[in-house]
Amino acid sequence: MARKPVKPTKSAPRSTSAIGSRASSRKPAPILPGVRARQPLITPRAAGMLKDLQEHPDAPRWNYTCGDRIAQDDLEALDAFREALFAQRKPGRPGPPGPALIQRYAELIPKVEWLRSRIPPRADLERDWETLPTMTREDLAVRIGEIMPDGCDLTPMVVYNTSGTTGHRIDIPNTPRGASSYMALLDYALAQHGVKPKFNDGQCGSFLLCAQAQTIMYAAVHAVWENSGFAKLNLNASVWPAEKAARYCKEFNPPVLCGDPVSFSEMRRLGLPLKPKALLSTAMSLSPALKQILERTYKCAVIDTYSSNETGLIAYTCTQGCFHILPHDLHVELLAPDGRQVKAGARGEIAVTGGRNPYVPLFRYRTGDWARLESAPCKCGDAAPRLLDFEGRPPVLFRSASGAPVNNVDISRVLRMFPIVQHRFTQNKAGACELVARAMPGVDAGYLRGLEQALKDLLGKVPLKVRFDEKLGEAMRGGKVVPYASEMTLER
Amino acid sequence: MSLSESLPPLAEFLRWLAEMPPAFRNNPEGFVGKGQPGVRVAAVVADLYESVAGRLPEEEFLNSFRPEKKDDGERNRLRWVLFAAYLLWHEKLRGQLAPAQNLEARLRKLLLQELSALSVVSKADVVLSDEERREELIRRVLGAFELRFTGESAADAADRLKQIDSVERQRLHAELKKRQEKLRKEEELRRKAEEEAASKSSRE
Repeated sequence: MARKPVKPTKSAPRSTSAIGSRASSRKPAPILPGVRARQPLITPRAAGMLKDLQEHPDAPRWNYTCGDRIAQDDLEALDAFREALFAQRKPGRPGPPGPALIQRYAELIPKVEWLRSRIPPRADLERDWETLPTMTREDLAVRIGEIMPDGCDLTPMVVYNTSGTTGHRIDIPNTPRGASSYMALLDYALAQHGVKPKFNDGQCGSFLLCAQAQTIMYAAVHAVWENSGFAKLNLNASVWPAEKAARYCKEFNPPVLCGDPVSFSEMRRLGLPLKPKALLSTAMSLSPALKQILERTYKCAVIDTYSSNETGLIAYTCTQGCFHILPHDLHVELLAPDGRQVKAGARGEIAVTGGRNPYVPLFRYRTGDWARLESAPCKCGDAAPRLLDFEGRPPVLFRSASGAPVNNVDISRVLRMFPIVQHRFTQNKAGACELVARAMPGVDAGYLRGLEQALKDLLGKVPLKVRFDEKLGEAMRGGKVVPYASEMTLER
Repeated sequence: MSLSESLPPLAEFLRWLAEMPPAFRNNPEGFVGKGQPGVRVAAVVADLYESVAGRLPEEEFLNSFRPEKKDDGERNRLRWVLFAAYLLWHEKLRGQLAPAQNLEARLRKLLLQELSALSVVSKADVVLSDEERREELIRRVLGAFELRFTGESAADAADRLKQIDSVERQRLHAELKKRQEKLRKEEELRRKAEEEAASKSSRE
């Protein structure tokens, strides 16, 4: 379906009282070259919206600039993707992926060294699927050059980095189109909950809320959501005072809020005057208790999603609370440690093949998360298979001396500055913290001197013990240590 | 093998190939226009095989020298076979083949495998104009029967072939290209990681 080129919308008069409005009533603004470069399809009215978001007296101190970089052909491709997504809701089937993915990977083998060097030349992708190798996070971390297809056009590449719970940074290349397909997927999840926001270029459409000691903050507009405004915000009171945040939220009050359980919990704690139509939780598991609290507080759909930077969105929770596989172009299978699929109804590690990232053709990519796959129909009406007994990344919440949330990503950022091989950071109910770290062998103690102070700078005056254990992890299976644990709860 | 006292020097074989008669220079049958003479490569191979091994090869083997498809790759492969057959026709060389062990197996491997691999990376036509390609063909043929020139050690012969080996050169070239491509992607990734990403609604 060809999408009509985006045309500037006729401007509407600015509302007399913008407070609490969700009105599409922004004053158009000239589109500056930098703004156009980052948001090629921006309209004058959307530029006005963006200006309002950026220059509002209560806006946070923006520390980043970016736009969606979506061009007209991207928008058309994303429309076609959305159309196919809504049309192709099919029950899953065990075994190899469907013919489209098999064909795609057969064409990729000569271009992708990772596939070329691991898949035997005479293997038949369909017949031998379960015996073929699996990709891991380590492959993405250290062999990304082998995974990116040879000869691919690198011009549209953008890079997202992910620190993960281990604190090891992974750079994931993608295209703006690939990244924006996330919103087309969210459209489906929202529609399943009866939420169909009427986005327009004179309105703020969504916020991405974070609650961390440090993160990027910026405002933009999203062409995929009709050029509506967007802001990534940090609710940490030390970087954005709560009164200011409250006034800002009341002013722009977008219908869709994205965030993680930590930020939603903080949003509720601060009593921000937001009236969303939907909360989309991502990045870590949302507990049923917190989901219920959020539903009661905001009287809106609370949708949990399962996604990662590497895979994009994999699943969403339906009205029955089940995780349904979301993208129709992603093959999801549950694996035993030997790479074979587990028997029907058994638990296995979730592995995915396919997706929309042209630079990272995931191939039986092991996510590290576990579930059972259920293909029987769900009461919600979505025919796509469900992930039951899903065990994703549990939220780990730490709190600073002031009670402000501290994300494990913040702690990883501090620890990365020191020569540490493994660590375990814990906080008890009373707020006392302990770091047990295994320093790099042979490293001079001088390099570790500032570690305790760096953590105190982050956490404030909480009781903190730091000790080094050169045998940390040795007694654990596979030498792995659970790097973060906390007795703090989100549901308070 | 062995070093053969009576094997003429390299220059003699280079001259032999350079003076190849027109019958061998012609295109193989199936790759010429109507009414033009084409060389029947299977017949040439059958003659060579019989004179070297003392028996005619089986039909299935000879079928490998009848063009299966009419593309440039097939034409090129058959021309390499023709040139090798002509080289093996040199009486001083043929005289050395008789004592070689596994003679038939070596001849088959040369004609079916080695020359096929060579034809993928190198044009046979160049043999007529390029002395280095002529030397490569000579050394490949001698190597197939473990023959070498007087005064040359096995290591010398292998080393010299490596210097002019088209297959090896192609392998190195492909390896280099692969490394360059990997570097291109990784460098661009590093560079772009420092640039701003594109806005998205998720925080994973």
